[in-house]
Amino acid sequence: MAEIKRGITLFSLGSLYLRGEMNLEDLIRESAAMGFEGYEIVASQMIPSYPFVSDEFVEFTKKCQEKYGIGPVCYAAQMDRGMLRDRDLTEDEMVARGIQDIISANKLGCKVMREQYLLSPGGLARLAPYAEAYDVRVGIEIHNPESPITQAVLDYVAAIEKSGSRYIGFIPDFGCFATKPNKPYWDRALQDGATEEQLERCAQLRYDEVLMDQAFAAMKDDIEKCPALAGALNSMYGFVQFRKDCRRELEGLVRIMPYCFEMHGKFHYMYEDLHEASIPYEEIMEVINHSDFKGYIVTEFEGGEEPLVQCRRHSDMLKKLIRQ
Amino acid sequence: MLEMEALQYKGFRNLKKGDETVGFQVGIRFVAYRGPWLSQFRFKYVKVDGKKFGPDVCTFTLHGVEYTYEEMLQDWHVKWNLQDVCYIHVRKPGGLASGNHRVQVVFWEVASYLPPFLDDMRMNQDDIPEDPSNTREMIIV
Repeated sequence: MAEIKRGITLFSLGSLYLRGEMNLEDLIRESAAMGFEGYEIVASQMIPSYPFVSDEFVEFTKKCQEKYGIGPVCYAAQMDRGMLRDRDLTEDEMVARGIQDIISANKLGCKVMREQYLLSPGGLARLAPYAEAYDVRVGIEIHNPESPITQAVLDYVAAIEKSGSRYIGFIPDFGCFATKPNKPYWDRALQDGATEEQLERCAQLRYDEVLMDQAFAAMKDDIEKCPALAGALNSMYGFVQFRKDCRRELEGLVRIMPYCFEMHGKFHYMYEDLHEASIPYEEIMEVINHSDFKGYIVTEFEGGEEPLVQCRRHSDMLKKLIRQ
Repeated sequence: MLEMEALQYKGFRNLKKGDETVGFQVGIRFVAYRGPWLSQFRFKYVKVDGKKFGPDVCTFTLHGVEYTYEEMLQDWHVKWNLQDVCYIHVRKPGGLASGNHRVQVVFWEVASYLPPFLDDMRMNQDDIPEDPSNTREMIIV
């Protein structure tokens, strides 16, 4: 039986924060007002003492919890494997970073930590004893173009199962179940002179699983006349890919569900009628409702305008779809 | 107080050594999704009224520690958070004249999830267009 809570990653409201229109406390207050029960924090974005968590920051989050009723539930870490010019970080160096992040997550009171795929399956397994010692579950984010059935993710499954630890696993991002083109990119291309007909041809190439080079070749004449099409087509082969249906990916989700500590409720555009433009939430939630998933679905807005309106709609949609 | 813009009015001034004006400084912050580790910082030049100053005549002071550009590229343990201002010290005997100046600072972050060609493209481009994200009219009093 699923036990699902609704959370939000404050990254969703990041544009307001970065423009100085809202401070961290404002974001927490607004999140509570939207009905979220906890928040995820991108540590390198909003924790001034990152990669450490200062006593002052802990105190601040506790005060906010008293005032608004919600606190941090997930520490979103990053793995900057490519931070040096001449070489990648070694696995030892990355594991050391991961351990520091676990300690910081624990200090902040988070029971879950988001880790990135740049840490190898072997590196993740090495974090398990530290995750257990600090009582922080470390989940690799499964982000489009990866999905629960791609080889990279299956390699993590093997490492997790071999470790026997319940403290390493996944945070699937719903973007990997997309069945339609990303609406913000589509709209931007329209604004920049592309036509619906041209974009539909691009989308069809993606649906037909035409290879990227061939798709660009097929659209060459159109791209020459309208360079904005290149960006839209590129995105369809990048981090916002989509396919006709996500049945197999959802079957994969069922298989890895025992290792899922949190879900990223990724979205790019919510219509007023509480439907997401390209990600089939109804189908996804059907699977999760019927699973034993226990944890937060964390609203993650990665679109453009009106983040507060968009996140409110997303929260309302989840409320409607969660059955437990 | 921290200004939200990348280039900071506060701290834009000439630098003196004894009685001699040896250069000027300008403060910058990252207006981005997140701040970099020092090794992820990329810098091309400070341009004042059309004249460019490259890494060879600049040092960078963050959290009170002064680095050369090369030192920053090697340092992957110090984090430059979004709230932190880094002061670029530019060697220029005599400093800048009093009055208005058009100041551009060209810098960015490299990251594991960004394609390397973006970095190469910027590095190989002599002139980066001025826009409000990297350029500001500022005053030396």
